[in-house]
Order: sequence, then C-alpha cells, then structure tokens
Amino acid sequence: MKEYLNIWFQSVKNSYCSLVFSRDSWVGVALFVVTFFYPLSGLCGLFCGIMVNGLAVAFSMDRFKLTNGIYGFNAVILGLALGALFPPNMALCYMLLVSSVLLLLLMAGFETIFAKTQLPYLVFPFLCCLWFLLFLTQQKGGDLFIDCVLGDHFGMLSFGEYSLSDISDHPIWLNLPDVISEYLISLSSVLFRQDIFLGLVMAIILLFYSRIAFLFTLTTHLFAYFLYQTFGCELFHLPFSCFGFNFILSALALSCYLVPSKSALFCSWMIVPVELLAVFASTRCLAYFYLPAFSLAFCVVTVLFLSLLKRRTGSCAPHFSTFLERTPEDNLYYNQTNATRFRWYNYYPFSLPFYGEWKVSQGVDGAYTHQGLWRDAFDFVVEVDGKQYQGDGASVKDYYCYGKPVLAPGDGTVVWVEDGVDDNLIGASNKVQNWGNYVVVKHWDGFYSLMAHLKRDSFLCEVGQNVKRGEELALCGNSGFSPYPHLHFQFQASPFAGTPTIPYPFVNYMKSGALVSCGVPEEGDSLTAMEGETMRSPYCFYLGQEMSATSDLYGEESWCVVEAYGYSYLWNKKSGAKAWFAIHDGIFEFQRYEGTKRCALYHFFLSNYKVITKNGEPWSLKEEMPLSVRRVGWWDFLLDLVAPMGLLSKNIFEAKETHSAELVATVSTCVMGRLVNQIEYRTTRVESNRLEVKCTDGSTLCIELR
Amino acid sequence: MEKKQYERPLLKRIVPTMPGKTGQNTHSVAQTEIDGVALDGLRERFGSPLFVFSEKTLRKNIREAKRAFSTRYPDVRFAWSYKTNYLNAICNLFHEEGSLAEVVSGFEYEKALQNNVPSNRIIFNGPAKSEAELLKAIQGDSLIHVDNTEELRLLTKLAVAHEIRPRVAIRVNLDAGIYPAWSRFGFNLESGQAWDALEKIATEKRLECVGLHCHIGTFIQSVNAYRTETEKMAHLALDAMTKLGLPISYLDLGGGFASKNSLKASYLTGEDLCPTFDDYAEAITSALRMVKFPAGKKLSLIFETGRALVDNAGYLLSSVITNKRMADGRLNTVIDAGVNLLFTSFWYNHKVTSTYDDVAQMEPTSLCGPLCMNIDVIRDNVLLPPLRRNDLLLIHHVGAYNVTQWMQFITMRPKVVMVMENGELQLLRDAETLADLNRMEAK
Repeated sequence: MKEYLNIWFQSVKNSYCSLVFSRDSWVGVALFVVTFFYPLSGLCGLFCGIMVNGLAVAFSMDRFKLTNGIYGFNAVILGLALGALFPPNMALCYMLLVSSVLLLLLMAGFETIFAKTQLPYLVFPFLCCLWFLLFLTQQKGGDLFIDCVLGDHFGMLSFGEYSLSDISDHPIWLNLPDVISEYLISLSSVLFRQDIFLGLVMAIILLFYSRIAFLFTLTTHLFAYFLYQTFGCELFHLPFSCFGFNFILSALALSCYLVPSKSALFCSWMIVPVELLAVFASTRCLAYFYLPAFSLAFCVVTVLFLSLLKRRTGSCAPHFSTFLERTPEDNLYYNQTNATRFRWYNYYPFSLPFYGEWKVSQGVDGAYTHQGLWRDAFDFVVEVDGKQYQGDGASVKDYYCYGKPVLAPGDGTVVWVEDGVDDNLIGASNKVQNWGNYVVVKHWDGFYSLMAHLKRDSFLCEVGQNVKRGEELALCGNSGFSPYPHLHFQFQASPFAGTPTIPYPFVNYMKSGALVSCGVPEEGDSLTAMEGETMRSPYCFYLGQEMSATSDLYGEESWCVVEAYGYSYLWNKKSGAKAWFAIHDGIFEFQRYEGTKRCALYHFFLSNYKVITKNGEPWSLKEEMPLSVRRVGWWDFLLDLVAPMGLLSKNIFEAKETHSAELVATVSTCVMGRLVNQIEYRTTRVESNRLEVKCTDGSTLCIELR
Repeated sequence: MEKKQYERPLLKRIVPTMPGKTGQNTHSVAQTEIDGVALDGLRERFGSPLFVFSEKTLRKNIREAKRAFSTRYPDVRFAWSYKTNYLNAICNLFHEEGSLAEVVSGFEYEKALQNNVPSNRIIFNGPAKSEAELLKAIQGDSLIHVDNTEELRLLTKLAVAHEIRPRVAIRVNLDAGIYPAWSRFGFNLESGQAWDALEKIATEKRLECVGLHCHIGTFIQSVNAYRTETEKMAHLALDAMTKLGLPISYLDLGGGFASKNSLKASYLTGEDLCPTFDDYAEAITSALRMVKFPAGKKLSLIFETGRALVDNAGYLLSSVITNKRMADGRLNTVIDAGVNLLFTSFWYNHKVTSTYDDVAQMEPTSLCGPLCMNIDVIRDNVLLPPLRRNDLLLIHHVGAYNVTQWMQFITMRPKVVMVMENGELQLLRDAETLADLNRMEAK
C-alpha cells in the first residue's frame, strides 16, 4: 500500500514538472506553488492531478510513465483551465470529477494511436477533453451547466477570480519594454493567466531549471514578436489571445525531444511562421464551433515536425535524444559525450588478430602495397627496441613475430584456407603466389577478413569451421609477397584473396598502454589486444548484489545492483541515486548518473568512471565525462546559455594503473582549454571484495561487496 | 722519462701441438662500467665489495619474458619469486611491471604486504605454513598452493571455523622426463595423490580450487621437460574441470628456467647452452594448444620464474687483496668478496672480468675470498690477466639467490646499489655494522 501511495505522490509531483518538460523535483514543487497564486485554479489543478494519477495507479498503468508524470500533466493543465474558466460551484466539482475519467480515457486512446509512431501526444487529450466540456456548456440554456460563465470571445478568459499577485498591477511592470512583458505574459498563459508577475516567477524557474530551455523559449518568442510586427498583426493578439504560449511550448518541446544544438535551435525558429499560420487557422476554424484554439497549433505543428524528423533516413542533426533526461543540459552533455564514448557500440566488435604487443609496420594507405583499392590493410610485426628480430636476422626464426598465433578477429566461418606455400628466405618474395598461405573468415554477407603470409602447415582451422573471436587460426609466417615475416590483415567484400578492402575499426585495444575504445590503427602504432580477466575482480557485479559503503562525509550507505530495460545500475537505497554501468571485454564503465551528488555513490562514480579490470598490466585511459555530472563554478550557469552553439568547457576523466592495484583517477574541468578544477581519487583493492577510495581532499570511502 | 710500471714475470707452459678448432681466444675482455657507470667510481662511493644491480637489465628481462609468452598465449602472468631476491626495490620493480608476489613463508608474506601488494595478488607457496599464517592468507583472499594433506585438512578446518571459502591450488609433482624428478613438494600425479586431493576438495566443497601448480625443478635446460609438464598439467586441469566440476582457472607452471650462468659440470657456457624465454614459451604454449578445453574456459598461465629474470642483472664488485703462489705452483688471487656473499659459487662457474682490456697473457688463477676458511673459493680455475692489489674484479650473474642466501660470517654484508635507467645510483641496502649485530644479542 505504502508503495502505491509513494508512486501516486511521485506521479502528482512530476506531473507539475512535466508542464515544462522537466524531470526536476524542485521545478515541480515550484510550479505547484506558482499555480496557487490563483488558489481556485491551483486547487482544481491539484485535484485533477490527484484524481487522474490515482485512477492510473488503480488501473496499474505503466509505472515508469506514471512516476514521470506522463499521465498527470494533461490532468493538471485541465484542472487549471477549468479553475480559470468556471466559477467555483457544485457544477465545477462535478465537471472536475467527470472530466478526470474522460481525460484518462482520452489519454489511453491517444497513447494507443501515437505509441506506434513513437511520437508524443502532448496536450491533445486535454484539448479534446476541454472542447468536449466547452461544447456542452456554451449551449446556454442547455441541460447541464447553466451557470457557466464564458467570455464573449473565444480565448478570452475570465479574470474575475481573486489573485494573490496583485503586484502585477504595479506601475513598475508597465515600464517594461513590450517584447519583454509579452514574453512574461505568454509564459504565464501556460497556466491560463495573463499575469506579468506570474510570468516573471515562471521565467526565473525556467532559467534555473534550464538555461538552454530559457534560451530556446526567449529566442523563439523574439522571432515570433518580429514576425507579428512584420506581418502587421495586432500585437495584442500575441500575449492576450494566449497564442504566444504556443511558440514557447513548441520551443520547450524541441529543447527536450531534440539534442540541443545550433540546428535544433534553428528548427525551433523555423516552425514559428508555420505555427503562426496554424494559430490563426485553428482559431478561425474552431470559431465556427465557438471553441477556443488554445495550444492546438503547438500540438499539431510540433507533432508534424517531429514526424518529419522521424521520417529522415540519414543521421544528421538535429538528433533525437535517446533518453528522457532531467534537463536539456543533461540531454546535450550526455549526448555529446556518448557520441564519442560509445561510438564503438555501433560497430561489430572486432579485436586485434594476435596476442600480446605488435606494431603496425604498414598501415592504411601505406607506402609499399596498401594503395588504391587495397588501401585499408594492415601489416603487423613484433618489434623490440626498434628491431623486428634478434640475432642477425638472417633466418625467419630470428623474427619475433614468426610462428606466433594468428587469431580470428571476430565470430565467423572459415571460408577459405590456402596452404602449401613455402616460407621465403629473408629478403626474397614470392611474386607468383602473392598472398602465400592465407585464411579468410566470413563474418556476414559481403564482409570477410583475410590474414595472409602465414606459415606453411600451421593451420589450426579448416574450411567450414565456425570460429569465435580470438580463436587461433594459424601461425604467422613469411610466405607469398613477404620479404620478412609479418601478418597481413584486411577486411574485404568477398572470400577471394585480392578483393578490394573495406575500412572498419577495431574495438577495445591498447595503444602504447592507453585504451582505445574504437579506432583504426595507424602506421607505427604499438598495439596490444585486451586480455580477458583472470582472477576474481571486485567489479564483477551481479544482479541483486548488496554492498555497503562507508565514507567520512556521508556515513553508511547501502547499494544494490538493479537491472532495468536490460541495463544495470547501482542503486543507493537511501538517496535513490542511480549509477548505470556496463561490464564487457574486461572493462567496467559507468554510463550515467542520476540523483543526488551528496552521497558516496557519486564519488564512486567519479573515481571509477571507467576501469580496466584485467589483472597485472599497467594501463591508462582518458575519456570525456558529461559536464552535467560534475559542475564546479558559477560560470557554468553562463556557459550553459551558449552550450547549444558549442561547448566551451569539458570534463576529462583520466585513469592510470601502474603499480600493484592502485588506480589513480583524475577528473579535470577545463574551460576554453584552461584547467579550472581538478579532483584526484586513488582507489585500492584492499581485498577482492573491498575497495578503498581516497580523495585529494583527504576524505576516504570504503566499499565492501557482499 | 717516467718510470715504467713493474710487470711481474709470467710463466706459461707451451704445448707443442696443433691448436684445436675450438681453441678459445684467451685475450682478456675488460668491463669497466655497468650501464655507463664507472666501476672505480662505484667503489669510491660505496666501498668494496659491492653488489650492483642494473635496472635496465631487470626491466629488459621481464619485458622479454612477457613478450615471449604474451605473443603466444592470451593470458600470462608472472609472479615474482620472493626467495630469489627480496630486496624491496627489486620486488617493487617487478610488481611495477605487473608481477604478482610468490612467497613461501609468513615473513615473505608480510614483506609482500608491506610492498603494497594487495593480498589477493599474493601466491602463498611452500611446504611449511603455520596455522596463523594460513588464517591470515585466507582472510586476505590470497591464492594458497597446498603442499600436503595435513595442510589441506588444516585449511578445511579454518574454512569451516571462519566461514570463508579460501581460494587454493594443488601443488602437483610429476615425472617430466628429467633427473632429478622433484617429488618432495606437493602431491604426486602418477601415483594418484594429486587426484585424491582434488577429489577431496571437490567432495568436501569447503575450498575453492581455482588452480593447479607444478614446479618441476630448477635450472632446467631442457624445454621438452616443460612440454611434458604442460601436457600433463593441462590434462589434469581438464579432468578436474569436467569430471570433478572444479572451477580451475589457472595453471601455475612454476619456474626453473635456466639463467645464462654456467653450471660447474658443464663444458659449454650457459650463454651458449641455456634456452631463451622464446624457447620455453614455444614449448609450453604449443603443448597447451594441443589440449582442447571447453569453449570459454581458457586457462591463464602463471610463471614464478625468478632466477632467469634477475641473475644477469646482478654484479658483485670486489677488489684484489693479494696474489699468492701455492705449493702446487698455481696462482692464488685473494679478493675481498667471499663465499658468504656468493653462495651460488658452489654450483656455478661465475663469469669474472677485470678492468684490463685485450691482455694476451692470461694466467690460470684460483680466485679465493677473504674468509679464513679453506672452502672460500669463488673460482677454482679462471683465466685472468696479471692483477695487482686494489685492482677491480667484476663477478657476473649473481642477481639470484645471493642477496637472500648470503650470510654474515667473518665479514659484514656489504652495500647493495642499483644503477637506474636514468644513470642515477640508488642505494638499495646499507652495509651491516657491528652495532647491527650487537643489537640483537642479549644484554
């Protein structure tokens, strides 16, 4: 029972956040307070929110959508609208009750229609519900709500209600430039009011909630204002016909659904003229039925525009945000970072075709043979202190790479094995059988890998055999067009030797001791394949695992490994913070962080953002961290405003494990290339189930796994 | 005109036969520096005798060993054998290069901990572990290599009492086709002892058997012995996994790789005779490749080789005290480093160089230490150029076992320094003094 009440409470709270497309609790609370500037409509909004969410809980609707306020925000808006439109009487109470049920039905209907297209239904349910009610009530002398009072004009709302914000009439507001006051009034009309003070409070909330959203709404409004002036429309219409909030809402929606960027900003301006026409058209059209248009223009144009973006085949900006983020800032920063961080998720995981450390002696577009159609090929050798051989190098056996195993780079089937060509003497080349002994593995239709110049009679596989990534295929040799032992490797489009090559990256390998998560090796690179982990590692988290963390600053905390949507996260039971992580190929990495930053989990996230869990070898890595994860100064506030245009600051995570098992990690924040803040963590594995993290400020954190 | 230096007369017997085709060049080859640091400078600063280690050689050795194995097998670890040389700086150097710690006593275990090795990266070997030591090791989640049934019983008892599941490996001894076959340590494979022990672990379910360990002997010059060892151990591991369901994840194939030292009984020098890391690695990995493990169950390999990694990185610098002619006519050169510092001289013919280059007149010399003991002979017979008092001699390949097995006897143990890669000198251990000795005596 308590659980259901909690969901109910959460859903009502987040219904308020969703009014401005936010996921921030405090925004919800602030907007809740703001709605009570007009107590009656505030009360109605709350009533509807509670009713609809309660019904949704009772009907056990999707818990995630519920708690994120997806079902509730239409209800809150409806309540606010009814509270603003109708006088307080029994009829209103009855209307609120009935309309709550109707709204839930409408939402179910709209969701069924829109879910297939993966588009948001925005406030369509609210509009339909309200029109339905208005259509009934405006028939004066009708059966039901005879007492209902409506303005003479559609869209003109009743202002009779007592307001807490009488300050709006203060002369100070009258001196504001039109463009500003209209912005504020438009903003307040989101809550069905034309109140400049209310607008100002909302603008401040918006600014603190998200600078980017603020930027989007303000610039879009400015553009709309400009258009009104150029077209010679009556400026009166912009705020007071409650048309202005259409532009603001569409800007908010785009800043939330799209990754904020120059192009997203441009798009939000681009739809303004269309929306303007839609506003007039919808108003004109609905006037026929004596109905106000409200935000119909916003809903239609936004949905149409989003469906246009969905129908694109290329992947160009603006991009859709993949995850419902807390703020547009989070959205931008996570997307920016993830684009490079998780680029390798887009590729089939090919690993290097050898064990240990090798060097690229000829890379892509190499000077000797990797040219033209065959440019995307690699020659690998083993080099020690700049030499490929020991002794005098007169025999193939002197070469370090000779006779070393050659591995399948990825899962596939062996489709071609050519054997029987003798090794050349050093310096000689077999120009008749160019490729020497080779093996071709098919990974999928039209994608093969070829490994050539192998040692005669060394094949450990046969044609038709299915091989796994990392399986030994043959030994490195010196056959074919190969004056000295090396491994020739290429991806190609057919099973025949000599086919043109295909460029494709390898994932997760070490380049001179530093991790490369996705890349194409270059000539001269020293490469080491990642090894799997051998011994028990503290990072082998399993589902349901409990752990406790003790820290100087935050005392005792208990965490648990939870899975959702196929992904795992560490869940701080007390604060509810979540740190999403993934483990693969001997790499442990945190993907995102949600929740309060005042807990030990946050510091664990920072200190172990990405770790190579294999034992032994020293390693280092460098990776970007989303800006929103760690903010360090007031200037961040300003930087957010220009962030869609380009990021001026950066969080860089660097980790290094050199001696024993101490992991030294630093998180540096740079603004315009200058280091402004740095924090260092040292993580030691005290025992296999205990980690100790020490921070530069002297605090320690001890994590025990159970 | 400057006065010419006195050169003592040298009598050399000339054998009037044809020189053989293996006739050796008897010109002296001088070594006057270690990694660019002059020997006389070293003596001036740190005194004589003096142990000198080369950081460059140490790192080169471990990297070469790792390269040889890691380019042939995906998952190879080295564990630094503490008893070979447990000077902290040396241990830490190997840990820095990624080595685990392999210890064989409680005191070595403590030493590894003090070197900041996490306890789960310590391998606890040895035939004599006390209950307290075992308890500490299992609480620290170390890898315990069980040597005997008694120890197995003790571990089971501790596991029950403390509700811990210790990670263990069984030490196995086997016939790898060499003599002597070490069967003193661990459980014998051929007689079924090893299988019995594994069955015991599998049925009792108190211990987690994560590995198998075997160490066939020391200074093994035959790579085929390792081939045999690997085959037998891999099959044992396969059986233990499939028939007993034990979670075997690693094979510890011990050490025993020969260094470049020359054994006393050997005619050729170690440099000509002993296999390289590549030879050992090829034998071991090709044998392992022939055993088909179930998919996804590739074993990791651990090596505990010590001698081959450190021997040629250590030098003993000493000075000539006097020359004597013994009654049988042989020349006897007395130096200030004796067998109390150079334990290994009992089985190696250590290479000795002087600072005199290209001297053709070499004399067979018996090289003795400063101890007042007849056994204090570093080399029975070595060709050296004529030497004077205070001349420097450099004894090579002394890095393994000497700075652990040395003893304070008649003379004090000297300083140990390391020539760092950047050319700096680092004092690893100070010389002993009388005060050190007296401190431990009852007052």
